[in-house]
Amino acid sequence: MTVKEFNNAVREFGDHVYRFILRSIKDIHRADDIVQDTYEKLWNCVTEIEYGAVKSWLFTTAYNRMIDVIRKDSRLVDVDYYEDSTLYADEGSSDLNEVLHRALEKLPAVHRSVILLRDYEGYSYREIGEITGLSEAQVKTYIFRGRVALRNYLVKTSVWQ
Amino acid sequence: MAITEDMDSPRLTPPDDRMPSGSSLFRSPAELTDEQFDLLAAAWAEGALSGESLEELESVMAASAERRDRAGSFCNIRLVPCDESWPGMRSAIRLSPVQRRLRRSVIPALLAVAAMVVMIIYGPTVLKLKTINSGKTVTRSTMTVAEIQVLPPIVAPEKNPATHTPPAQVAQTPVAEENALPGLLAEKNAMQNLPAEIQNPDEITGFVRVQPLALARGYASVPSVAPEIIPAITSINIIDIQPAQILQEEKNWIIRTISFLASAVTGKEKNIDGYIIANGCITGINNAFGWDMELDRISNKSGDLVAVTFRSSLLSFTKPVNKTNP
Repeated sequence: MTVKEFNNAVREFGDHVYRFILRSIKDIHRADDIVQDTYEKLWNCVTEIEYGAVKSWLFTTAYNRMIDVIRKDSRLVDVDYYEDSTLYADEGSSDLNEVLHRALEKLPAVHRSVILLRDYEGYSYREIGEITGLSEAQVKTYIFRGRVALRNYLVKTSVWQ
Repeated sequence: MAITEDMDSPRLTPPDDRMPSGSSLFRSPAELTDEQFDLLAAAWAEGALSGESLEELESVMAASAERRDRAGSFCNIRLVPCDESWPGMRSAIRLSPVQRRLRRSVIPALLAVAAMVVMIIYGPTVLKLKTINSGKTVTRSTMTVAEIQVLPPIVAPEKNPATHTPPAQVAQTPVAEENALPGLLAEKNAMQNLPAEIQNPDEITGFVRVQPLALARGYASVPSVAPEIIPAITSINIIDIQPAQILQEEKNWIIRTISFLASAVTGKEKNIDGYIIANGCITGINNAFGWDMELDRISNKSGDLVAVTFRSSLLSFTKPVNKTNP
């Protein structure tokens, strides 16, 4: 990958990676740091990566870095610990997308990440599995369970009757 | 259970026993719980169902309108990206060697040349205007009574020609004719047109201190400012008449221009000399290249600059200064 392609990767995918990390970690400064670290790593191995694979590489590296940060902060929620009862109703909102994002914050980190990769970036289950290190079946399960949780949240917040 | 004839490797054969109530365990798609149906519906909304799974779910939806609506609600659960932008994107952009060279050397050089051209073209004109206008601009519209200070009458001192200079003489305070500028001449003429109370000190029965420049320029008159004081005035003493300030000529015009530009940009009076310019350049170079150079000034007890000291990792020297002004 050339310097020009690196800069293209910054311009083209920088916002995407940032949004994914920001929505996953809910911390502007940490999200910025993680994306900066990711691109620093990309720059260090810029000659070894093909431009066609750089987007997946960026998301994978950023996701792993985010998991490290979350573990360091002891804020990782165990997937098995998650139950539907963790969702509760709070203030209502007429904007469906806003309510969905608020509900997303209440999901476990892994569920949140796979749904974001699916909805924001349109990745396939296999690609999401490669980024997150999960099997395709696990990705499907997490996405379906996450969708059900989001729907139940909408029902409980009276957005949907 | 029968034992086969091959005794070397005996195997058990299952009997034909049947569970009596086995048929009761069969389930139909309509018996799916809501949780099970939701998971299937989420997969269906994702387009992840196929074959028999899809057929079974469709049969359930066909049989129940409520479940059909419930499954349809999953189609709307899609997150739309918000418009957050990565704030650190600009710093992550890497410059190519050509761009880096352009940004670090060519552009500053062009800017410096442009600044020099502007100074050469407009510098003398700006300085001339500054000299004539002598700093603060006062207009009739901006002049207020508050700017004219009238002190209450005080005890009139003994008339001493040495200390009490008549206004007419004050107005004719010797100013070298060769230094008389148009602005100063105008003030001199205005001084001659002072109100009668001021021009005829014998009729004034008080001692008043006024802001003479405003009076001299005709922006205000004593009666308009303090009419109740005028009848009691015994004499008037106009002091602090300041002629038009002339920019000191001890600095060359380039430094004066830089001082003028710095004052215009910052809005404060800046007194810039050669040391400040050199120190600013060294600071800029340190910031641009990460170097560590220092320029210090050495002054004597009276505060006059006597030498400058330059220090860097490669070179250090102290240079005496023969003149305090460049």
